[in-house]
Amino acid sequence: MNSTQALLELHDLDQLLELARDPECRTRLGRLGFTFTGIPVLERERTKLVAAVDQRWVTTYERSLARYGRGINVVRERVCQGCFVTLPTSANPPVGESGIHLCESCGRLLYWR
Amino acid sequence: MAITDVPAVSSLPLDLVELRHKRRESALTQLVAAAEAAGIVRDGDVLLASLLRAQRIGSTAVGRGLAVPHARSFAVNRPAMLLGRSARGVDWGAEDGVPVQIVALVLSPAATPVGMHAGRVAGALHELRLQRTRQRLLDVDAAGAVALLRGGGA
Repeated sequence: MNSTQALLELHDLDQLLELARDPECRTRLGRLGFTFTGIPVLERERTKLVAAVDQRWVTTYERSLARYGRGINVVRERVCQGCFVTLPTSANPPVGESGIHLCESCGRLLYWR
Repeated sequence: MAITDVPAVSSLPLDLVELRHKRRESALTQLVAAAEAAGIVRDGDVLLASLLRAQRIGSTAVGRGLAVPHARSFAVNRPAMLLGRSARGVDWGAEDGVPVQIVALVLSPAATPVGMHAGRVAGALHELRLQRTRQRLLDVDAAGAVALLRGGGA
């Protein structure tokens, strides 16, 4: 697993944990037969995923998660979908395996599709 | 009640997959591959990892032969629901021990609010809660199954 994939999986895991910790969703889905007993297992899994991510992104990811509720956002048509500011023309999709970029306007991590 | 009465689910594109496998992981892999082929999913590996992790938080098999795996993921391009069916059943680790014959995979893009995603999952479950609906889904052909869930009858 490369660092970008680990970061995307970390994001999805945090989305899942958000749902599992949300009292309203827990109650609603719990009534329908879902169980949420494995949160501690996923928290351990999260620690492993964080270790697999390039450390230079981890601090920014955690900061974005705490501040905005999501660690990464996407870029669409050169626009950051977090703050909706158009990226400068000097910002280009990263070459190679990493599709991760930093929004200079809001400081979010961006996944360049 | 027809699925059109549940707006969160009725507006979703719907596809039907005949499940060939008996293991949960293999069935999920097949559903993700079908979603990727339909252009719903960008990165199948990331989505599959998310779906398998979601099984660890608690089984998504809700009993009586029904499972509703779901994901809110970066790998998903647009909201969609994929329906998988297996006449012989998939071993999904349900609490009641009944093999799963109907799988409704609910997918939402990462930007979907958590409450909206939970609503889609609940809507899918609500629509498939009746035994006679599930049985009809197993009995009719693919087009009929989709029509049945769209409220047009089989």
